Amino acid sequence: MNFFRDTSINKKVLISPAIVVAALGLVLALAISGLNKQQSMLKQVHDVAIERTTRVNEFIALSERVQSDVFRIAVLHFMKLPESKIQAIHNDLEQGLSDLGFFYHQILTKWALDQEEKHILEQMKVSMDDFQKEVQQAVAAVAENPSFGILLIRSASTPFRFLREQLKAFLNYQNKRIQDSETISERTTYRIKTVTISIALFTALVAILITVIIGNRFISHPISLMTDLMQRLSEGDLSVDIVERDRSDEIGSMACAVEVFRKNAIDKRAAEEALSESEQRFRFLFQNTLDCAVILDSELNYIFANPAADAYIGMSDDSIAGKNIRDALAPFPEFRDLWIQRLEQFFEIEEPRWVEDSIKIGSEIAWSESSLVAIRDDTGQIFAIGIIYRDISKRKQMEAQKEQLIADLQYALDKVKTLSGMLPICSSCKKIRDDKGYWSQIEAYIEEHSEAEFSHGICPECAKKLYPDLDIYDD
Amino acid sequence: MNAQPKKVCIIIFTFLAIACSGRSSGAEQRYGGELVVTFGVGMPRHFNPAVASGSAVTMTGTQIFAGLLRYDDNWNPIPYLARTWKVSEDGRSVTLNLTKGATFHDGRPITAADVAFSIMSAKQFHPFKPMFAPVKKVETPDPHTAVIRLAHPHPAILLAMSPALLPILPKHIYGDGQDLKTHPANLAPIGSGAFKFVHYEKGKYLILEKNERYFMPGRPYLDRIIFRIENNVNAQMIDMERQEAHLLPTFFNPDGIDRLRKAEHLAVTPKGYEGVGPSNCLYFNLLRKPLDDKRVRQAIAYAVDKDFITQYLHKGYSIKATGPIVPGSPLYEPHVNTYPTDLDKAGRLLDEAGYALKSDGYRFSLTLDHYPIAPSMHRDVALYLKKQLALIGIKIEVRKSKNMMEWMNRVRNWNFDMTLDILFNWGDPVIGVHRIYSSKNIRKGVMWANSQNYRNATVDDLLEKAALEMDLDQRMSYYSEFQKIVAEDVPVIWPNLIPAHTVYHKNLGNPPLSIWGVHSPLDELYWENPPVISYAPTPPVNGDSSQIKRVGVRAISIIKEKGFYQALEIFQDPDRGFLDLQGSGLHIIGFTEKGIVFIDNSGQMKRGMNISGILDLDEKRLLPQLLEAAQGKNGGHFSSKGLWPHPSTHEVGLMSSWCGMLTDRDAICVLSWSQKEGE
Repeated sequence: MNFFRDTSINKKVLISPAIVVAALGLVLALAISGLNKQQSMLKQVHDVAIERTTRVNEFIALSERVQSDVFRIAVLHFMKLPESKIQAIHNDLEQGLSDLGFFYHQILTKWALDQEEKHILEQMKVSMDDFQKEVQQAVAAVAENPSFGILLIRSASTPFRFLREQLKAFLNYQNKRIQDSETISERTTYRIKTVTISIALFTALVAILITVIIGNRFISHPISLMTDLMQRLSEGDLSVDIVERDRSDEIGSMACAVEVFRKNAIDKRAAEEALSESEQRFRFLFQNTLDCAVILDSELNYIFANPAADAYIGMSDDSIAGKNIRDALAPFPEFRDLWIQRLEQFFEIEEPRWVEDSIKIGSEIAWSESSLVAIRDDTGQIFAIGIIYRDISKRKQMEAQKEQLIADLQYALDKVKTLSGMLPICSSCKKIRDDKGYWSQIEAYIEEHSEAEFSHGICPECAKKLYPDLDIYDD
Repeated sequence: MNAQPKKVCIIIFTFLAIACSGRSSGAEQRYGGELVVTFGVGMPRHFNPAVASGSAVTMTGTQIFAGLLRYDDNWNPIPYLARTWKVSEDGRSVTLNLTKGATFHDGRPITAADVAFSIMSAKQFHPFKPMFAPVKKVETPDPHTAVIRLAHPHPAILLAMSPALLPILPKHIYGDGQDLKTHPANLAPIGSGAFKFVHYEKGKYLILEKNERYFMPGRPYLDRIIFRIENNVNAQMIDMERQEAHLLPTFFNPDGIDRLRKAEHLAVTPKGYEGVGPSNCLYFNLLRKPLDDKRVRQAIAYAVDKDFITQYLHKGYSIKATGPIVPGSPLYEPHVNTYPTDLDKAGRLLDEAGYALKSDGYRFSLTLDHYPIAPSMHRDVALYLKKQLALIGIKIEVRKSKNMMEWMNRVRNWNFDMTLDILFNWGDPVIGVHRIYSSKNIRKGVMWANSQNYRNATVDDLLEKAALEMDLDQRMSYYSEFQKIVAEDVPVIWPNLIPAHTVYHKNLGNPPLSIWGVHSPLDELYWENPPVISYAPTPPVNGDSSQIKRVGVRAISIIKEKGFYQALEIFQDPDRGFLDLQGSGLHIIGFTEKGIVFIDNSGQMKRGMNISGILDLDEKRLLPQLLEAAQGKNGGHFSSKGLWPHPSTHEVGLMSSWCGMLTDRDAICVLSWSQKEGE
């Protein structure tokens, strides 16, 4: 059944006609073959019968010749002709008797015989053997005593008569065989015709049945199934199970395609959901971020601006989206021109991608930093520029304060650095020589070169050493 | 050639002379009785197998002359005059120890000198020259030891010591300087066999009687054997059926075998001819065109339908032969070209040989002769071949020979194209086969030599090697190749084995079934129950009885009193009143209820003739009327309603008869002829 299922529909539809053609061809061939065989058999039977008839007629002629020779020999002996005159006939007779057996054996062995023929031939053999023996006996007797021999010749006529009767019976049977074979042939021909028509009708019915089965089971039903599945898919039911995908025919291809379609639909839905989620996330981010985000087209119109951007420009009740930069930054002509020139440059060479600007608004300087992103169409052409910028004025102030602090600290560091480096110290008194060559007490030196102050005491070892008699540190 | 003796030649046969017990049937062996053998395989010229071959000579000669060894039915030699025998290791000598006390029929002892004389005589005179050709001399160190010295190893030497091939002749009779071939003793022989010669009526019968001095104790069992020569197969059969004869050897008439098998008291067997190994042969004269062309001979071989011969003509009693050595021989090679019948192939071969069909439908003509005394084997086959070979365009003239001599003269003088013949293997190929195929035996004027003038150096070489080889396997390899070559060369076609059968009375014990069959001593044969013919009561005669009834009753009495064969002789004597061929035509006939004639002293009917079909003028069969008379109708008198020929003058007249029953199945009639009234 897999064959029918997996064969392509264009081939499948050819199966029935092919079967019909093949079956009818086969039936026709068989019918022709049967008729030929029938004809051949009839011809063979006819030929064999004719050949046998011919052979038996020769047999009859031979037996008559033998019988005639016997009488001739008898007559010649009665005429008292010398043996030499009779010898030739005697030789013929002897050969004739031998040939009877030769003919008989040919009839017996050359063709297949039916029971009736075998029976006739068995009877014939008995008569022939008797005839041969009687003739041999009679001819020998007549040679010696024609008067007595003639009695035996006469007696030989009895088996001769029987032999003739058997030969005639065989001939009659051959005629009967021919007639029977013709009758059988007619019957068989009629039977072949009937059988041929019956088989043809039956074949047609089978072909129709196969067509219906193939059409319904292997084409219509699966197509209907596919249609139903596609309908459900189109209605968004992605839970359907796509059957018939293991088929090798068009239905199988269709099922695979539907399955792909179903998978794509599932993937698309997931992508859309992901996109939507992502959009929401970014929208939230853009709406709530302090950074300003705008997108400008090549005409330098704002095609997008987040609230921060609107606020930064000073349009808290309105959005700059849809406005041209020339209009939106009209209050800041210097700043506007800078950006127009910058954006036009960016459309050409995509530079600069990051800029830091300061603008004096009133007495204060407002700092901002902007990053530019090229937005391209499918051909790679820049059709818009995304700009994210933020106010970094406070950061700038803090950076200024930090730079002051660093300077102060640098100064302090420089001071500390006076205690750094190689200090020459007296290995005995521990006085330190300064850069002017004067030796000072270490305490005085450190106090002079750092913020450190000294309080004086004495350590246990030195106390023992200086005041061995005092137990300053003993418990 | 391996001249070294092999395993076979060092086998020492040592048997006690008495050890060869007969094949007892288990019944008590009874002494006495007479055996009548009827045979028709040619008239024996004499009874001395040392100087002649042929069934008639060997069958009778082996009863009169003892031999050195005899054989069982498995080709095993058993002691006869030689108690023991030993072949030397080099195969060049055979030492024989003779039975002591053995004598010839005249009482003279058998000595080693007789053995030496016999062997050298056979070497000189026997037609089978290779049989003793290697014998250089026979030494006689003592009266009971003979040592045969051979020029080279001779594997056939033991088989050649069979009685059929080597009778032990009395030197004191045959050694008188006369020509052994024509020695007067050949026709009144004195031997040492189981039976003594009594009388030979030339061409009719041979009477032998028991040899009371026979050296084998307790044998023979029979008192007398009468060999009756009867060339009329139908007469042989009726004699066997009527139990007047008891043993019919070498019988191969297929119709006859069929018929005799139906007789309850007769057994028919093909056993007993393995040693003789007879086969039918179709010789070609290779000196003549177109038979000098191997393709022509092969074409004829392909044309011969052996199945027709064996199955139809011979009714399945003969089997197909394939080559020069018969299948019963241990040296037979079956894997040769057997020429299955193929007329198309035969035609093609003849075309290739350049003998195309001519306008008369023939390619060429040939004559075909045949062995003249076995028509069912040869005449019938010849007539068939004429018809069959015409199918491939060979015109055959079947030439009939008036007698054996005419045919033999044609064959041995090479005045033939093709001839059918019987060939005997005679046990070992060296004896019976080499002579036909060795180019060294191409001898014009010699019968059963290489009359076809076949020459093949390889064949000659193989035969020479095989004749010297004592190892059976090696011999077999030589003969195997030989058989393949001659089958390919086809100097001879072997259509079939002669279906020789022995017909014997079932009351006989130990029928002759060894490899030599009837060609070996019948000293073990005995009557379990001699056959008894139960005669019908003899019809009474009185003063009113007719003359012919008196003759008939007397005839019946003589048969009962004298026996059948003696009665036949008495009936032939005109002075005894049973025959009047010059006058009334009175004569005696005897016939069975089936109409088979077993007596006709007039010669008008032949013994064995079937008269059951003779009709009278009313178209009534004569036989039932004669039988009715014999059973008493009209006091046994009967007159034919028809014209009856005088048995001598053949003049047509009337027949009157008296008939009486001899047995419950056989009738005796006295027939008398008279002229028709008014003439």
